[in-house]
Amino acid sequence: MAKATPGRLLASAFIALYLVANSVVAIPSPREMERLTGERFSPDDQVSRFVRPRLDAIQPPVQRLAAAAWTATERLRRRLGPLVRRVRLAQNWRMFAQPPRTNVLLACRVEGRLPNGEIVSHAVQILPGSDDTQFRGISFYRARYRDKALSNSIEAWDRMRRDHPEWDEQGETTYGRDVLGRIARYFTPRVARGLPPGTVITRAEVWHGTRPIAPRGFPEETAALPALSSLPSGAALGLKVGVDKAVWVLRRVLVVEHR
Amino acid sequence: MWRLWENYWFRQVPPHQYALIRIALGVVGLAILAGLSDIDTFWRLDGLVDPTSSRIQQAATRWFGPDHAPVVAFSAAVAAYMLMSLGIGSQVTVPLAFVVSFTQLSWNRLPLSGAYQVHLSLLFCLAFAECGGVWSIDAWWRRRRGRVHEQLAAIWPLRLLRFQVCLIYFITGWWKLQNVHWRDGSALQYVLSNTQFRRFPIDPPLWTAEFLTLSTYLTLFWELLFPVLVLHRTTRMVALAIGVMLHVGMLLTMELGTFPIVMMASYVAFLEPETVPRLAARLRARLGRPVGSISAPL
Repeated sequence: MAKATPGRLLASAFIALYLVANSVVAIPSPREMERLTGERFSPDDQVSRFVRPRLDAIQPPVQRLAAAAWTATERLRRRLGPLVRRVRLAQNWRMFAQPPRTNVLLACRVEGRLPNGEIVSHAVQILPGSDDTQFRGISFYRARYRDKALSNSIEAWDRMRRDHPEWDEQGETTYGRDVLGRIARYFTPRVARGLPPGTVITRAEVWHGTRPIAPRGFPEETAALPALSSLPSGAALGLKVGVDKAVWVLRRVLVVEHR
Repeated sequence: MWRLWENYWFRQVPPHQYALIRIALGVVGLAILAGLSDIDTFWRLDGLVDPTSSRIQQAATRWFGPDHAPVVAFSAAVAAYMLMSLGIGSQVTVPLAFVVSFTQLSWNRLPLSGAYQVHLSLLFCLAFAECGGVWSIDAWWRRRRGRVHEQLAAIWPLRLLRFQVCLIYFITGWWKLQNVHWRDGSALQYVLSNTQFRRFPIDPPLWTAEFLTLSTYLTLFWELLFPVLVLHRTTRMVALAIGVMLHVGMLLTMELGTFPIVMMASYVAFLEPETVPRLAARLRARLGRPVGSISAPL
């Protein structure tokens, strides 16, 4: 019989802890799963006509199983969760589990005053940061990290709005300031380079826009139709966006006055 | 029972797999840093930096000053990944690379995606393995000093790596099954139309709809079944081949940073432990170099 040395017993304890802790922490939470459900827009094609009803049938029992597993491991998760999260090993990897239904666009507009008193402005699309009319090869690799930083910021902002719906009523200059303010601070000097020399910056704005993605089986242009009906006033920013086939609904979400 | 456990977790294997994963993860770490090399944007407090995650940054700023701290942090990360890739002091530099990755995540998580989380998890498992047995400066130095044998390594970190990858795929599949767009097969249509990720400046043409539906279902079933498929040698090869196909597909059609690369690098852990040294020996023989020896029987 093989001998259980202290070193191996210690390693075995670590292995068992690793397996249990990671599994327990990775179990999807029922509340998060409910948020992930989504609404169906695409009509069935020949393949999905066969597969979708079967997947729809197994989804409720799987969700019940997830809920049961979540409840059964509650105590373990409470004890082991902080440990796993502390070493940043918690797997909440969902890779497009909720595919984006809309494209997101961010723009920064900077306004300034020339020495003769004339007011000038310049606006730049900042997300996506790279040109959407070209193939994105290796040279776009670095731009991806800036896009990710911005989209993670916007996700945080969306979460804040979801948790504090009353902020929406407080006006564009108030809500989301701590997330969007950082974006404004970073981009203001960069966008201001497009203004004439000697301009004194008086105002910076962040604009946020979304455009629905066409469901399967619909041409790209139809995605913009619902958006047209809700075009808010003041949305014209004079940006040339992407392939420009689409209509973007842009909304000013932050104003920073420079005095 | 203990014998079964011990045989499963503590079997000794050639160090080549660990060496290959070490090099791959080191190169991926350097590729991530290449993406984050704009210090003003990603490392300074007034850049695109998450203020809630910058306690380490604030401490470093106090220590090195606001101008130098970001440069010091970035340089330390580059040095750790380079040492790890080259296999210099692997027993120290691989755990150090994990610490550096951890610090980087705490410094500024905003530009980092789930791919970084995967990279960190794999580094954690690798930190417990003896990764410098071959294909490293360490091994070259040992050979120069007359110690020509390659040391065997315990298999358990490799098994933890496999477990981690299985967990990632299975949990992702579980989440996806919950979403209506994955069940109706339209998920990839949305993903490939996303202006932030797509490589081609057009939405998928209408005639690709059914192919995308099939690909959506293939991804979903493959992710859910991955932990089962890798249990047997034959189905494991099928699972890995599908994985390579899907990740190469992602690489060609979407800009997802290092994600496809890090996942494919993790597949090395699923090869039979004897496969990598055998392939390496075959390559060495073809190049006319002497084949190394292992210090103990398998």
